[in-house]
Amino acid sequence: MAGHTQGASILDVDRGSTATAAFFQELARRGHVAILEEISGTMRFDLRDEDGIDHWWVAIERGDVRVKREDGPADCVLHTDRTVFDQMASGKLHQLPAWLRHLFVVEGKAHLFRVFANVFPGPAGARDPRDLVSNRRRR
Amino acid sequence: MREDLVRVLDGNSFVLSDMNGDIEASPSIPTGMFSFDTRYLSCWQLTVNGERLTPLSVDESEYFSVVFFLVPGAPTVYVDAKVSVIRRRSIGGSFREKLTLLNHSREPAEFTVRIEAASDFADLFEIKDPTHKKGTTTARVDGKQLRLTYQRETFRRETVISSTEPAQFDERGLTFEVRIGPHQQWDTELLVETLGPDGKDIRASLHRRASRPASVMRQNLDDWISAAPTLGCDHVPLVEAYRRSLIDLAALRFPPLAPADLSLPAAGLPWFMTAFGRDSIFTSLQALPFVPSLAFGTLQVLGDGQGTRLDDFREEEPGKIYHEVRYGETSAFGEQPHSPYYGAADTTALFVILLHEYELWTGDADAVRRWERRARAALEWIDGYGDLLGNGYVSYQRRNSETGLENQCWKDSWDSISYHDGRMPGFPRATCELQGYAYDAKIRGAQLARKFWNDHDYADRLERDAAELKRRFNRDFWVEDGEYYALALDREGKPVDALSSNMGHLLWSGIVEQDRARRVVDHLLGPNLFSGWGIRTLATTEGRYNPVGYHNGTVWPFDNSFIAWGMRRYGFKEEACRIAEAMIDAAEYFGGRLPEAFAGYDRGLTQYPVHYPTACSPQAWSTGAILLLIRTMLGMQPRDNHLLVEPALPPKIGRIELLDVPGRWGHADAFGRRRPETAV
Repeated sequence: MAGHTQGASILDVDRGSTATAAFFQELARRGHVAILEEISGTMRFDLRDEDGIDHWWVAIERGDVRVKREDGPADCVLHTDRTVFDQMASGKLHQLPAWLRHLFVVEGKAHLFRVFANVFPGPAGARDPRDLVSNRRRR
Repeated sequence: MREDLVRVLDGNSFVLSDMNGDIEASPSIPTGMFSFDTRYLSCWQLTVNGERLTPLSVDESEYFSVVFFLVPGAPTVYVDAKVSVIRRRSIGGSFREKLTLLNHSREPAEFTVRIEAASDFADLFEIKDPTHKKGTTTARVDGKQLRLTYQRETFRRETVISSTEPAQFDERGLTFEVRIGPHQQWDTELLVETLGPDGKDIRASLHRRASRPASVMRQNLDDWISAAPTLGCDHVPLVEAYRRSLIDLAALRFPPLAPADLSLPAAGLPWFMTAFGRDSIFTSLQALPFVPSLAFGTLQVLGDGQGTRLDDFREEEPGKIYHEVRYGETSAFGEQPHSPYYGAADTTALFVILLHEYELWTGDADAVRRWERRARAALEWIDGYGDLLGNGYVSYQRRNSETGLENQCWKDSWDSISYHDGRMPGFPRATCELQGYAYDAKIRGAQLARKFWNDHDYADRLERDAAELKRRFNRDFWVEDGEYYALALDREGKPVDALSSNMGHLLWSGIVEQDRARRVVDHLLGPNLFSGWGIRTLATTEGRYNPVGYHNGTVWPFDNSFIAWGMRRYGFKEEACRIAEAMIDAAEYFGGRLPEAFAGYDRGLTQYPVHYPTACSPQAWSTGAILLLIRTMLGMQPRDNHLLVEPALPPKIGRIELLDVPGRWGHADAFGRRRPETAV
């Protein structure tokens, strides 16, 4: 089932929320994500803004990922503002500080989100530690 | 830390108080009630009729509870109290304190009982280095509760104090006006709840674990001890140290965000009550023959946090195992990088070593298969991001230059790595034990690949790499003049030639050429490194040697335990026994509880091991040291589905029996008896 996506609007350009949409679209496109191989379960992301709540639903089966843009029962549900999720989805906000600041709430099997969060990108412009070392040589 | 502080703890929730039970926090005396790296009470003072109380005795028999027996007034030669006070304190999520006043006179008496309470909501990092709080602290009486609240943007922490007996609450505490009949008593129970941002208990909100009453804690501890092997021994100090170690390990268990019922060892009280990659792995290795569940929890939790991206602030890289995670305000606002912080060059190889050793003992092949990808990612890190110079050695250079660690090995203080003359090398630095761990990880990784991952090509490659690493290492790190391994290589690839304990770990890793092992052991047990109480971190002959230097001359029990294991690996039984005996002797002076470190003075100079001033205690890997030393003395090693036992005991110990050692064999017994004719 890898790479299988459903939900009519998944590839639509979003209501200004490009980072979130791009994040889930990329997840759906990859279909299999190796760093999620250790978990199986369903997750839902309820993202609030002034127009209401946007739902993203993700099923993970040993790294195979399916994404739907719809409501539905899930083992783990994350509630937050769209702006917060945009920042996490674009590497501008790390999930642990965000969690400690109560910027989102996780219900259900929180361990699923703990591992899922590893998929969020790191900050833009981060360096490879080897590039900092000027007299590096190759064996 | 001060030794006269009284502690109760349960994972990362703990109370440190004075001997009378009071908390009066100051920068130099970090008392308080803490949870999740935040201080929830910085003031908690009991008075009776305006008088402070003096302890008659303190019963600390359980780590999660303590009983203070007190009388009012200053200590005098004669105690002639008409009233006495008992504070029964426990922690199991929430903090509970039962107060009892006993009127000893034949007349009824009236008392004003007052508790002063306040919180500064300091982050643990601010206690060592106080800074101005950016949020707002308020105290508010809310019906029959006092609510102390800290709010900074959406970050909120709250302490809620209540009492079973009616009290007069004000913003600085609560007061009881009580009348007690002749020879009667009065009781109340105070409850201090620690709430997270959603108004729920901080544990429930962050770790999904509700508070537990003392009875559940007691049952849990009983179960823990009865599941561990039973030690019989004719040397009482070892029996006491073993029991103390098991209890302290139970106390230090830390329930992270993971599937239910898992825990891993937190590193140490009071500063290190959190998951540390290095400390949790070393402690789990030490404890494997006794409580293998700790290793599983450590592998799960650290594996969940394995790096997946590049992040300069946190020094994260794909495949890397983290150094430390923290839950306080400085993590929440990015003022410290511990969310998690990945600045450690040894944790990643150690992760692979623990996974392999865990399977050897438990036979849990499922875990090894389930975590194959994580183990491979760790092995790839060693040859990739870990090899900063591209010279085939793991080295480190921080890229978080403001709040990152300069030294990313176990000796992580700023001045721990130096040449013989005391100069410090530039960066990157490749300390020797990092190469030993990398070598061991490759050897063990190859065994996992061949046996469980069905990848013989990968196994062959890892073994070729390991052999090549060993050859180069023995060429580049060996100091010909003194015949020992250098502490590190500097940026230019030249030896950082201090004589240190680090090379002891090389024996454990197996990277030492067999014909050099004798010289290494002689150095380690020679007068410059061996104090009589243990092996010093740095030899007395070195420029930076200082018997009370944190990593420059003190003795670390954890370090000694791994060195002893390494000596056994190379066949030096008698020498390993010398270390074991010295450590057990030292433990006796510390009430069975080996501290993080103690001073490196020569045993001939001080007749007892001297406290290192700020050492943490209990410290997980010091607690584990006794366990690993027992394993080493008994020569316990899993071989297929059997437990091999090859005992060698020091002169003071005639007999060790370790019954019901859990493992892939079910349960097995290990016996050691010193035979006079082969006595060492």
